[in-house]
Amino acid sequence: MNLEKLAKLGIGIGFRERFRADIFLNQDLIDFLEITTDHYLDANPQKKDELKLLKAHFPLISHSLELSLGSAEGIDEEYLEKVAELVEFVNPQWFSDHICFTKSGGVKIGHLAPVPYTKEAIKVFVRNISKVKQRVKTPLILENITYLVNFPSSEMSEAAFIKTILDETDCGLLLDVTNLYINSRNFGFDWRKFLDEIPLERVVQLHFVGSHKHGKRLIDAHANKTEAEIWNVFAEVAKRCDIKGAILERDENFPPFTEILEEIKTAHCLMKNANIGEFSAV
Amino acid sequence: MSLQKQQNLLAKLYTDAEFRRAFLSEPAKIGAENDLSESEIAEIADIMPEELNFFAESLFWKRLREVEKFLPFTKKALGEDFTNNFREFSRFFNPQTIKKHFEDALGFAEFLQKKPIEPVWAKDLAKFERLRLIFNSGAKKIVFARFNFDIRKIIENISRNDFDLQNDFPRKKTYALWIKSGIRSKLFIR
Repeated sequence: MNLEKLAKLGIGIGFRERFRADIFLNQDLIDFLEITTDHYLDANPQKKDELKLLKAHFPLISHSLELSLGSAEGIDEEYLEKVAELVEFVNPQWFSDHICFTKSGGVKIGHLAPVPYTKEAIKVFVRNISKVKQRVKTPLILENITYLVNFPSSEMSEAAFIKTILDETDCGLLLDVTNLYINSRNFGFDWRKFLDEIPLERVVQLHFVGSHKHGKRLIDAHANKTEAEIWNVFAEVAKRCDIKGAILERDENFPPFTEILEEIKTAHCLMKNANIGEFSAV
Repeated sequence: MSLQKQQNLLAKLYTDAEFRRAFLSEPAKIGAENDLSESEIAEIADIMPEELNFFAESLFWKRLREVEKFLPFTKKALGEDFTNNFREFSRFFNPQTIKKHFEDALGFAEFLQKKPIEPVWAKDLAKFERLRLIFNSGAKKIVFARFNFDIRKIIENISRNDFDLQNDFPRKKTYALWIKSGIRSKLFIR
């Protein structure tokens, strides 16, 4: 995949219904939107109209949750077909899902679950991603997740695992800088070393939002303002990568929209200071 | 241990609290009952129980938060009992469709109809929110229902946060009718 040819989209937000009025009022400050693919699958007429409206006014990227690319039992073909049809309609620069599994043996886990970092798991990802790429020609990028379970059976580091999958599947990376920061805090590693190990030339897009403290751990609740430590990760990545876009992901504890706009402005500043060129909408 | 076998077991451990408790207290016995060899049992048992429980709990809370968004009035009326009942419900219900949170909310509102909950009028509230979700999903153009309490008064007071859990709303048979015509929809309560 020739990632360099992808257009630079700029800074945007993950679309949530609650933001609808505000994003149209502030259209000049939001470069693009990321829609959650699953919200528009088997959609009612209102959701279909909403998607048409968004598409008419913003560049869109679609982000799905349930491809379950790490499932050893394979891809759910019915779900893949629905995702493919939506991606064809949205016609985004790229689309994304996660490095995880979400179902197995008839049980839907309901969220993104980590896989052990093994050669067998890499083969599973390669096989499943190949199937997705046969059906969808739009470039696929993969997101790193937070994990709360560590597998003693892992044969390599998370960074080495991600690098191998990206290399073998020729996919881009959706680097969630919040997830990276959270994992580094929960499991005591240096996020800079993680960046040293992954193929930075494959980073296409970023996700960012604040972390959330739950007991002794940090979790990705998408409920807080981005904190300074995460901005530091963002800034470092922006310096080292030719990023095409970054999305603020806010799902809970919604603040006044002015706070969202402040975060978008900060992200813009960090991008500009990184001298990676001006962004332009498609 | 094959990844397939491991994922099948992990999915069950993450989503079934009783199975998780049983496995963590007696891994050899429960592992053998699930056709795992000694080395396979050891591989799963090597995962820190604290990590396993924390992740499983985080899944439960994420699921709960989403259902609360679909049933906000019922959540207000039940408070902590909403969480307690949802925990019981989530033990046996695993949504299978793309709209998993929606499916959870419909299933949970139905589950509450069979439970002895307090305040008792919260059953009508859950029923109202369930039917509203079904109507708004576009699945039906007409939805009709009968309630045992004055559902209009309950909705109005809950919306304004003007209710007292100690004081029941008066019992009064009321009827709600949702109708969709073209792009317009209307709710009648009588």
